[in-house]
Parts: sequence; C-alpha cells; structure tokens
Amino acid sequence: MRRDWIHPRNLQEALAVRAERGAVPLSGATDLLVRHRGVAGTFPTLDAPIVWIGHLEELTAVTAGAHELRIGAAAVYTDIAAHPRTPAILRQTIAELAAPAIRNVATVGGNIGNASPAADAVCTLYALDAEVELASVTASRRVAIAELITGPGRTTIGDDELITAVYLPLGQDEFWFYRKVGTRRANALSKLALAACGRLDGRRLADIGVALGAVAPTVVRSGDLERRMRGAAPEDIAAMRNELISGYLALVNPIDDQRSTRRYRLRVTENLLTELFDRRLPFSLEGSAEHRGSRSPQR
Amino acid sequence: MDNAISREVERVDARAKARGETAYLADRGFENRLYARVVRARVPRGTIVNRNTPALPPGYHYITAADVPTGGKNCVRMIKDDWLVFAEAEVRYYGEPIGLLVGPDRQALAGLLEQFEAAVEYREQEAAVNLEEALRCKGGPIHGEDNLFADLHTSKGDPERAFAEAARVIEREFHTGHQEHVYIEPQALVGTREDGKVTIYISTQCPFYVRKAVATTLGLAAEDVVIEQTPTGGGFGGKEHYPDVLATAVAIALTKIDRPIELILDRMEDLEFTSKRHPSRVRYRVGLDEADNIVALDVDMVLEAGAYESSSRVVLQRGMFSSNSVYEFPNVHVHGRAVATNNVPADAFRGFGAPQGLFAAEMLMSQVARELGVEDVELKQRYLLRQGSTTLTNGRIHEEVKLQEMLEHILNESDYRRKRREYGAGNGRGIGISLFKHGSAFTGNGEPEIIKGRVRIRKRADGRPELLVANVEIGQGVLTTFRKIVARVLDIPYTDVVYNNHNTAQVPDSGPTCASRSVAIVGYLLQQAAEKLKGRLQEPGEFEVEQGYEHPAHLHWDAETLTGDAYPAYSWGVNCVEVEVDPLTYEVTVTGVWTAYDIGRAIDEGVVRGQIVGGAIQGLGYAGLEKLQNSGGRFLQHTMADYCIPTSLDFPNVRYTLFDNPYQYGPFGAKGAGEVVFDGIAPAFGAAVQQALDREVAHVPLTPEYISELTDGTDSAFHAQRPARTADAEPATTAP
Repeated sequence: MRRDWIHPRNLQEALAVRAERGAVPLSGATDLLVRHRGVAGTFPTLDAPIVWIGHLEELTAVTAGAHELRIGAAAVYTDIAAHPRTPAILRQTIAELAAPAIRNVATVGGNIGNASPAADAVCTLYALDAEVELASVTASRRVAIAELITGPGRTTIGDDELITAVYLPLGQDEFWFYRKVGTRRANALSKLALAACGRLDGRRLADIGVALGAVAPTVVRSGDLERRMRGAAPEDIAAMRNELISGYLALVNPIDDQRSTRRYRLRVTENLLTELFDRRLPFSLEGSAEHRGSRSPQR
Repeated sequence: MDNAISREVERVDARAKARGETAYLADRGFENRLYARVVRARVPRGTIVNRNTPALPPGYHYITAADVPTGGKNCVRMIKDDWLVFAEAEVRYYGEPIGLLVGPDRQALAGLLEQFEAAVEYREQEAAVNLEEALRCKGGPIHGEDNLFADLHTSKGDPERAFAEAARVIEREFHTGHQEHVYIEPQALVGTREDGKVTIYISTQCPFYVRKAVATTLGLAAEDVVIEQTPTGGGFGGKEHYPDVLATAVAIALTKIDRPIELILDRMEDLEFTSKRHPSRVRYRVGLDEADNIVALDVDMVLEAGAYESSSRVVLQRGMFSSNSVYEFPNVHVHGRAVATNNVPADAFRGFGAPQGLFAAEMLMSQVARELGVEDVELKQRYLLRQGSTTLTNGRIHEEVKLQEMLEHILNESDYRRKRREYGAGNGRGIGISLFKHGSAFTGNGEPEIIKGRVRIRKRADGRPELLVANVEIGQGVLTTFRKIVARVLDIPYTDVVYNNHNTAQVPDSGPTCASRSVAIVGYLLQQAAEKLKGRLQEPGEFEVEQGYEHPAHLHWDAETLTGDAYPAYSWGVNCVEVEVDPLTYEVTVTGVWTAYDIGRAIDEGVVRGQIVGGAIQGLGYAGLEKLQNSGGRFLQHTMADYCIPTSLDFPNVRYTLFDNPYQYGPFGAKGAGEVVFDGIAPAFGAAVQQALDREVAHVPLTPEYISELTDGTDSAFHAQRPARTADAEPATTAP
C-alpha cells in the first residue's frame, strides 16, 4: 500500500486527514480512478493523497426517519435501491444507472462530489429536493444539492469537508416520471434525462420538482416554473403547457459532444416535456392510484 | 453424405475460456522482459521538422526508422509496401508511429512517452479527413496525383446503351461509417530471440503474414523468423494485418536489444489507432424500361482507405462485387475507388467490403420498390440469381440457389406480410428483409495464385493424428471444426485429434484465418489429407501426409479485367428485422430478428450458432449504435463509454434456420459462415426503420440523432405517432 493512500479507522480520522493533507475521499473508485487511470501496469496519477472511506459504517448506512431518508455518502447504489423506503423514482433511476457491477460499488456521495451534469442519480436527487450533509473536524452543515453543485466538476465543498450523507424528504413521489436517454440500453452514459416527481392534493398538484440532466452545465431546475404549477388542476396545466415548455427550453443549453448533438438534445427535451405536461402529469392528477407513477418503457 | 457432422459437440476451448483459465499473452510471464510503448505523431498531417529527442535514462531505448538494419526496409509488407513501420519525415495520420520506447518500468515509460511526443516539432499541413475531402484532394494529394489507391471498373452487358434506351432512371446515394472491431483482447505481442532467430509470440489471425512482414523489414529469409500465435481473444479482421504493424516495430527493436520485449496496446490506444472498417459512399443509377423492369445498373463506389493502402484494393473488389446483392441484371457497370485520407488506415473487418456494398444494394432495391409502388420483396424476387446465372463479373453461379425457399421460410416465420401491411407507413413500427450472399475464400485468383495453401497431418507414434496448419482459433471455433472434419474421415473421436501447434517453423502455410476460408478451403484440404491417412493410423512410427490447394477446373478468373468467377462458391442469407421507433426519443427497439442461411453444411451447429448470433448482434451495432465521428483527424469517441457496442440487453434473441445444401468442394459440403452472418443485418434494420418512419434511410449508423433529423419538420405520420405503450400512463412501479 502506498503511503499516500490512507485507511482511517473512523470518520473523525478521515476528516482529520482531509483537513491536514487535503486527502481526496475514495470508495468505489468508479469515477475517480477512471479519470486518473494510467495504462496497464501503472498507478493512477493523483496529485493529492487518497483517504479510503468505503469501509466506514458511519457513511454506509441508509436509515429512514419519520419524514426523511438519510443515505450515507458511501452507501452503494445496490443497497440504496434495496432499502424499502427509497423513493420509487430513485429506485427506477438506479435500475437504469450503469451496470450491476458498478452499482455494487459506486456511491451516491462520489456521484455528487464528481458533479457531472450527466450523472443519472444526481438529476433525480434534484427533483426529490435532496439536501447534502457535509462535515469537517469542527462542524457539520446541510445544503440543498443545487446549492452545492456549481458547474461541471465544481462544488462548494470546503477543503476540509467530506460529504457524509444525503437527505431526501419522504412522500415526494406520489407522482413521478423518469426518462433517461442513454447511448444504449445498459451500462450507458446519458445523452439527456428528465426526472419529475411531486405530491398530489386530490385533483391538484401540491408540489412538484422537475429536473433536466445533461442539457446544461448543471442539472436544470426552476423554482419559478414549479411555483406556478403548485395548486394546478389538469386544466390549469393544459392552459400553461406552452409557457412551461418554452420556459424550460429557455433554461437549457445543450452541447454537441461525442455522445449526441445539441439539436437532438433540444428536440428530445422538448418531446419529454411535452409528454410530461400533456400526458403524464394530467393523467396522474385525473387518475386513480395506479396512474400515479411512470417510468421509462420496459426494456 | 448425411449431416451427422453438424451435430453440436462441446467446443474444445470452451471450458478453459469460460473459467478464465486460458492464458493470453498478457497472462504469460517472460523472464527478463522489457516493455514497449509506441511514440505517436500528434498531428494528422505534416512534416517532422525536429524530433528534439529527449535524453534517455539508463536502461531505456528509443527505436526509430534509423534503426532499420541494412538490407531491411522501413515498411510493413502487406499487399503493398507503402505503410511505414515508423514515420520518417512525412506524417499521414494522427497517431502514426514515429518511434518505439523500450524499457523496464511501465510507469517511467509513460512519463517518457509524454516527453517524447510533446518534444516533436511539425510543419502542419491541411488534412483531408473524410472521403469527400480526399476526392477533392484537400491540402494536396496524400497519395499519387489523385489520392486513389485503387480505381477499378467491371462491367457486364452494354450498360451505356441500356441507359440510353431506358425509359426512366432512378438515382440514390448511400453511406456507411467507420467501425471498430473491439476484440476483447487488445493487440498484443512479445518479441524475443530463440536459438538465434527472431521469434514473436503474438495475438493474430495470420502468423505467416506476420512472418512475411517481419522478414521484409529486417531483410531476413522468411525461415529465419519464427512466429507463434498465442490464444487470441477475438479478431474480426482486426488481427489480419494490423499485428504486422506492431510486430515489425518490435522486430527492429530486437536488432538493438537482446531481451524479450512486450508490446500490448491499452484499450484506448487500440480503439483510437488500430485499423477500422472502411467508410463508404455508393451512388447508383438504375435504368428501367417502359414496364418498370430494371434493365441497367450503374454503381459508383468509393471506400475511404485511410493513410495507407493495406488491403483496400481487395476490400474494394469485394465491395464492388457485392454491389448488386443477389440480383441478376443484364447490364451493369461498377466503378470502384479506394481513396487516401489522413485517418488511421482502414483494413479488414468481418465482411471485407461486402457489408458496404450489400447495405447500399438492399436499401436501393427497397427504395426503388417504394418509388415504383411495389412491395420490396416482390421486386427483389423478380431478379434473384439462380444456378447458371451470370454474375456481374461475367462468372457463373455454379451451385443450386435456395434463396426463394429461404425467403418463403423467413416470410412465414416472421409473419412479415401481415406485419408489413398492418404497420403501414410512418407509424413507428416496421419490418425489413434483406437478401444477400458472401463469396467463400479469397477473391478471384487469390487461392490458386497467391495463397496456394498446404496442410499436413502427422500420424504420431502414439497413433493420434496431429493437424499441421496455419489457421488459428480466434473465437470462431476452428479448433473444434477442424478436429471434427479429420475425426469423421478417420472414424475416431474428435478429441483424439491433436491440434495445438501454431508456430510458423513447424506448420505449413495454409494461408490466413480470414475471408470465410478456414473451413471452406483449409477444412477441405484437411478432409483430403485425412483421406490419405485412412486405414494407416495403426502403422508403426511417425509419418506425415500433405495436401495442397487445387483450384476446381471449372473456375476462371482474369485479374486484369476483373472478369470470371470472383469466388468459388457463395454462402447465402435472408435476414428479417422488426423494430419500434420511440416517437419521443427516436430510439429504436429491435423486437425480432429472424435469419436463414445456406452455408452448404454446418460442420458444427453450435459453432455456427455462435457465428450467427454474434454476427447479428455485431451487425445491429454497426447498423444502429456504433459511431466514430472524425474531428480534425481524430475520433471523438475513444473510450468504450463513448463508442458503444451492444450489450445483451440491447437486442432480442436471434432466430436462425440453416438450409442444408452441400458444396462439392467443401469439407462434408461446408462453405464459409463467418462473414455472411454479419453482411445482411444492417439493410434489414434500415428497411424496417424506413417503414417505421416512412422516410428513406441513406446511411448507417442509424442513430437516434439521424432519425430525429430524418423526421424533423416533416409531415411524416410518425411525427404525430405515439406507440401503444405510452398511450396510457403506466401503473406506479416498484423497481425490479
């Protein structure tokens, strides 16, 4: 074992090496070591020491309280999906995320810290109003995920802080719609994604979160547009659908890259928004319990 | 002859491979070995002004063109000698080798590689990175005066007159893209000296190609170079010639360094810099008479060859000879060109030009049918080749053609006619059919004039027969099928046949492992050799029997005019693909794949099933997923995350039916099966998508982005279409 790869006994020790040596946390390594890999037979090139955190029980537990679910930062996706209180939209997101071998080791904390605008679970966490807990040797704080992530690979995580948990309010997925458009059916990175979920109050929408992934430098969410939808009945959604769709399209700014094109991403984002506002959401508001949730077509 | 030989047996290599016990080159330790890394050019086109070669630490070596020994030659001998081992002054593509770093520590080599590549100064030139730019000679010609490595014509009948008299002419243009092989094991070799001879252990399809190339580069007699094939994790054509490129570089290093040298490409390096399938552009003119009969076909095929010729001339020929698919037209002219670009050289890839020609030809027929207002299957049936038909090279179809029977079977099995009618046009669902053929063995006079394959069987002292052939296992099953052929002649268990020698010093040159020729050609030589051994296994001692290739007397070929029998025999296929296109995302879901093949007779149905299923999935990847986009001479996709090949979730089970049709000159009646199973998938997929969109499809890969553009701003019925599964919100779900 290399001396700059540190194996702490508990979270306090991990936070200490984080503060003292600027160590970078490592658990599943599915992002970090891929990014820093060398060719076969060589070590990854990292300019900071590594602190292992995947074995720390303080960080791996998933626990449900009365109103919220606490997911440890080093909980792996397989375990998150298996927890009975995990929101259905997040379970569906995880089912379409990477491949089983990756889901067995990849962590939610790593996914957030990596701050990719194309990260599947991060998009859904935005829609679910997730808050991220950060700790340092001396303090702990909670911050909305949208406040934490500021750009591709950029966050407001302090030099002495580690992500310790993600909190999700429960009951936010009485209605949900998730659609990932990947490069293929499995083990695929996203070209774009839409996650929407909320609470219902009879025929009216009590609350909604709509998140668009991989179509801007960060996941796109609009407090303004969501406020306008609150309290809406199906006929209100129908009346607003044009401004909702154009409102969201004004917020996205996709790029041409090796996985897709700006043109395609814009058009499919528009199609998915149309599907959400013309069909999924009205059906849910009108419908019985069985019409509340929906997922990507069965593959 | 009965078809008992087709019964599936356990593949001899299956257990060790499934258990991970097979030792590939990277698993083998070579004592005292050094590692090598290829130093690559960082411009797509230009001249090296100054190498500014950095200093080397002790124990490290830098090998360049200057190290080619006297009497040798700085070239990779394939068909031409134009491909250089190491660039001298001129650089023709981004990533072209300019030297080889050799040393003991891989971490240190990685640092040196960065230093050496960054130090080189270039005078950059404007690059031509696609075939349109190359045809215009953008930046000046890369090769000769017109960038053409090959410029060929073949014709039949009197096409000029037929077009002059035609009542109408339909024109179309089709394109296909690059494709990467993605063999599981990357390119790998270890070069060393044994008993004073340059000896190379290598993952390859063609040990004797490597020997020829290395001997030429070093200026040695072929016998003074020894090549041993190691268990090879896939090839698909990517290990037909490309291993020569790396082996010659290591061979030059071996003249300076007296230690084993290991060169194994990293996956990303392999993906970015090894050879690819040729992209194509095919333009057609179809001449019709007053009654809408097709009376003439004019084909203009261009293949993008990349920076060096490699086998492009021959790939082009197979592409040209496939450009009328399985149809007989009285007047045909085909013009083929292979054009040089500043990209990695294109080379062999399963199908070898045929997939490009067949995609274009089958899409053409379906579009002509659309334009004439007839069902495409009905149109195609009017022109099917049959026994005695004249091919477009004025050769004959010598065998019985079972296409009609195969087509009927597929139409029934897939319920094609009902689906075709019910899906209508542009409703998001479609079903497509392709018909096609693939010539077994080398094109034209390749087998009798160039390869002249020979095999030997040794009767060992212990009474067991040992096969001495140059053909190798690359996952296609030849370790099993060759044993079965010989065992059946000798009436012994196939497991009693010994076949484990893949060393050029010990086996005769039975030719390369490619071109659907191993079973069809070499298998037949083994059958003939085994006949000579029949009844002699009980004789004392050790002796050998030999068999050389004899070209069937009824076959004729003129290589100058490209006329005659282009192939000894053909394997035939009919494919059907059914799709649904998502109206929200333009993603294509394949809902059915039905296939029928006449490969003569299957030597082993399990092995053939592996080829069929693998070929179909690889074909669907080519048709819908696998995209390499060139940007300034580099591919944008150079990781496995961005160059997406299919996973087991992408496509449904592949159904298949074999039509037994024994071939007189094949072992127990077998013809080739390795490539025909790839050839027809893309056009069947294309025809299905075409129906789903009610739009003409002109290129593969048929990505969701392309489909989105095809349906953009149109009045296609598809535009307003929502498939049944999104018509109702689905029930709240619990994740599986």
